[in-house]
Amino acid sequence: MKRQKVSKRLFERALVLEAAKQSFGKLDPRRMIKNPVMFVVWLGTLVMVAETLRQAVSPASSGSVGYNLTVTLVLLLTVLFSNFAEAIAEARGKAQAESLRKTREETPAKKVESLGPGFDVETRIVPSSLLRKGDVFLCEAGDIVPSDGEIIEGLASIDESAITGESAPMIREAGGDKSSVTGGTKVLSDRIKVLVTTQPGESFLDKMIALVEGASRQKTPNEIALTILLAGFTLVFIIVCVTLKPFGDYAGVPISVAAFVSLFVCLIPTTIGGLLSAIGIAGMDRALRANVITKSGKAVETAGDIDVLLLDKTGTITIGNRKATGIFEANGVKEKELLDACVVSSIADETPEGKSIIELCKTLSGKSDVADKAFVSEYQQNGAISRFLKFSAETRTSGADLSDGSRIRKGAQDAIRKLSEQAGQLFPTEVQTLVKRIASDGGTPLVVSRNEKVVGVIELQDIIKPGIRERFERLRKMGVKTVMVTGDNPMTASYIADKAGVDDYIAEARPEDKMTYIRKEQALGRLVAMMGDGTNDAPALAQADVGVAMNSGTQAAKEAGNMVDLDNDPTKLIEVVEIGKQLLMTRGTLTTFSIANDVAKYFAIVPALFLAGIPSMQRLNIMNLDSPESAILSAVIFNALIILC
Amino acid sequence: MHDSMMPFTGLLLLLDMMINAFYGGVGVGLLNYFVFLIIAVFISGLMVGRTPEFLGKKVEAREMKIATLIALLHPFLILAGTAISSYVLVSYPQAGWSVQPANWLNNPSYHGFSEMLYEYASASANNGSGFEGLADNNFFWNFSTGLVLILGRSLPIAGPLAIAGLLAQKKQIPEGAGTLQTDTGTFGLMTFAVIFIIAALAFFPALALGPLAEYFSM
Repeated sequence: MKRQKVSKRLFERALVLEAAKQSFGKLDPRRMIKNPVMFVVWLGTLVMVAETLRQAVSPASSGSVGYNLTVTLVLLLTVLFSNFAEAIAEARGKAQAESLRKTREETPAKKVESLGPGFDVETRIVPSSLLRKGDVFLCEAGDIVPSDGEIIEGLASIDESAITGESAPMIREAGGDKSSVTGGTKVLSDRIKVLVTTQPGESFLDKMIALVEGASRQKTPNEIALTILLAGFTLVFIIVCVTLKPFGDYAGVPISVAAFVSLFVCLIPTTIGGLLSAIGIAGMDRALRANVITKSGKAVETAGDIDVLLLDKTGTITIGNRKATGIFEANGVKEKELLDACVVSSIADETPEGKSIIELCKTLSGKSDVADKAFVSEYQQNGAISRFLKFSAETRTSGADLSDGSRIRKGAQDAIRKLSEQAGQLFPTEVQTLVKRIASDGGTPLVVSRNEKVVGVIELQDIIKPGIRERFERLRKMGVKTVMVTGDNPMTASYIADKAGVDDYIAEARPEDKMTYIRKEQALGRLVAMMGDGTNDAPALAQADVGVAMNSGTQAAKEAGNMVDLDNDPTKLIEVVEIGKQLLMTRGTLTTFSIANDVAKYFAIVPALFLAGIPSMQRLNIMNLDSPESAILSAVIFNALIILC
Repeated sequence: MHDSMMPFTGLLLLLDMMINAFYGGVGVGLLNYFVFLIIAVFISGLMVGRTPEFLGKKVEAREMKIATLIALLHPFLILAGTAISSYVLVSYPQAGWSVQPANWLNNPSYHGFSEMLYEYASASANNGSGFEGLADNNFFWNFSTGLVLILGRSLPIAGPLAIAGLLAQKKQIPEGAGTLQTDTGTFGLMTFAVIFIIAALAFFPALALGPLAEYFSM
C-alpha cells in the first residue's frame, strides 16, 4: 500500500534547528515545572550559577572557579538535551500536521442557494471558510471538496490520495455507509450535492491536526503513575543529599556545593525524567506514520494494553473475496460438460466469485493464457445463449438458458436440490458427500445443474492471508486474544478460525453481536479493541476501549472511534496494538536503565566524595578515581550525554 | 574502647533494620514488604509493556502515590533524625541541657556516628534495641526517637490499609496469558532490586561514614 509521504528522517536540518531554538525556550520555569525531575536539575543549575559567581567574587575553599563553571555548564547541557529530545518529537509532529493542513487550504465552494422549492439549483461561489453547518454545496468533476459533509444526492468517484495516500479512486454515494466526503479530496467524475456537517475549523481533520500538534496532549494514567514513582526517587535522593551535609560536618569531611548539586543530579532518574514526554509524543507520531490519526496519546497507550482484538474476517484474516478452488463432476458426467456448464452459468456473474470460477475453468481447460473475454466469447458464438439469469434472492440461483433449450443453473445446494427434486430427479449421494466435505473444510459449495440434473459442484474457498497465523501467534504471546467476526455459518467460521489461528469467533454476526461481545468482555475487566466503518458499527466503536474507524467510513463511525485509519486497511488494528506495546516497553526499558545507571553512579561518587576527609575510604573507591572533582565531572558528563543516546 | 558491636556486625544489624521488610520481624516488616511488592509490580509491569496489576487488581496512580510515600518514610525518619542529632552535636556541643550534647558519645568519631544512626534505625523499625555508649536517657533522645517511633509504626500501617481499600474497590481482572506472573524467580529478583535500591541505597552514604569508615580505619 502506498503511504503518504510522512516518514521524515529523524534529523532533518530544519527540524533540528527549530528544536534547538525550542530547547532554550523551554527553559521557562513555568514550562519546566511540568516535568519535576528536570525542574529540579534546572534549579540545581541555577544554584551552581550563583555558587560560581560567589567563587569568582571571593575565592573560597571549595574548588576553583573553572571547576564550578564546568559543572554548571554540564548541568545546563543536561537540561537542554532533555528539552531538545522533547522539542524534536514535537517538531516532527508539527511537520506532519503541516503536511496534513496543506490539504485544508482555502478552496472555492459552489454553495447551493435555496431560493424556494424547486429552485435550489442556483449556485454561488463562496470561499470554503464561509460554509456553515447545514449549508449545501455542489461538487462536479475536477472540484476540490471544500468541507466535510454527507452526500445527499448523487454518486461520485473521489480521489482521496491527499488524505490517505491511496491512489485508487473511491466511490462515494448518497445513503448507506459510504456517504461521507472529506474536505481536501478531489472529485474525479460525476456530480454530488453535499450537506456540510461541521463548522469551519472544527471539521474532523482540523480537530485531529490540533491534537497531533500536541496542543491538547494529556498525560496518560500510566505516565502519571510513572511521574509519581520518579518523584519518589527524586525525594529519596533529596533526603540523602540534604542529610549528607550534617553527616559530613560530623565526620569532618568538607563537601562543596558543586559536589552536592552534582551528586544529587546524578542520583535522580534524569534519563527517564528527561525523555518521558518525548516518548509520549513519539507514540502518537509512530501511529501517524502508520497513517493512523489518534485522538489522544492515551488511546495509543491503551492500545498497548488491549486484551481482546475483534477482527473482521473479510479483508483482515482472509483476502477480500472467496475464490473457486476446485470443480468436481457428478457420476457419469464428463469433465468438459461440467466445465461448459460452469462457464455458461458464470458469464453474467459479475461478482468476484463468478470471475474466479471463469478463471479456474480457463486453467482447467488449459487456456490460462487466453483473455477472459475471448475465452467466454467462444460460448456465446452464434447466439448460443438465449437468456442470462442474474442471481435473485427468490430462486437463489443464477445461470443461463441456451438456445437449444438447455437450462443451466448454479446455486446453493438446497436451492438446486429443490429444483431437481421438483423435476423428479434424484440428488446424487456422491454430490451430497462432496457438499458436506467442502462445507466442513470451511468452503462454500455451489451446485451446478443442467436441465435440473445435477452435473457437479464448485468449491469456493476463503483464502487466508499469508503470514496472518504467525501474527496472531505473536499477539497471543503478548497476551492478546483475537476474535474473528464473520457473517458465515458457525461450521465455516470454526474451520477458518482454526486455520487462521484465532482464539475465538463470532459466527453469523450482526452488528449488535459485536456490541454484546464487547460488553461481555469488558464486564470481565478486559480491554477490547475493534475496527469498523459503518454507522451500525458506531455504538460498538464507542463502547470498545480502542475503536479504530476507517476514513472511508461514515462520520458517525469516525466520531465514535478514538482513532482513524487513513488507509482503510483492516489489518491496521494489529499494527496499532503493536505500536502501543512498543511505547509501553520503550518507557519501561528506559526507566529500568535510568535507575540502574543511577545506582552505578552512586557507587562511583560517594566513596570519592569522602576521600578527602577519610583516607581509608580508598578501599571503597573501586573505580580508583583520582579526586572528588574528577569523579563528579565524569559522572555529570555521562549523565548529560546518556539522554542524547 | 568499644562498648557495642564490631563494625561489620553492627553494619548487618543496621542493614536489617533499614530494609525493614522482613517477614516475622518486629513492627511492620511484612506490611512494608507488600508496599515494595506494589512498587516492584508497577516497575516490572511497565517493563513488559502492560498496565501493572497485582492479585488481579490494577495498580494505578493513587496506590503508587501511597506506596512511594510509605517506602520513603523509613529512610526519611532515620536519616533526618541522625542528621539533626549530628547537627546539634557539631553546632551546639555546649547547649545547657542536663546532658550536654558533647557528652552524648562515649566513642566519638565513626563509631559514635553508628550509635546515633542505630538509635534512629531501631526506633523507626520499632526494634527496641540500641548501641550502648550513647547517653540516650535524656529529653532530646527520648523525645526525638519517640516521635520517630510513632511515625515509623502507624504510617506504614495506615498506608497499606489505604491501598487495600482502594484495590478492593476495583474490578477483578481475570488472569490472562499476558498477566505478570508474580511467583517466578525473575519477579523475586525484581522485588529484591527494588528493596535494595530504595531501602539499602538511601543509607549507603550514612553507612559509609559509620560502620564502613570504622572498619577501614581499624
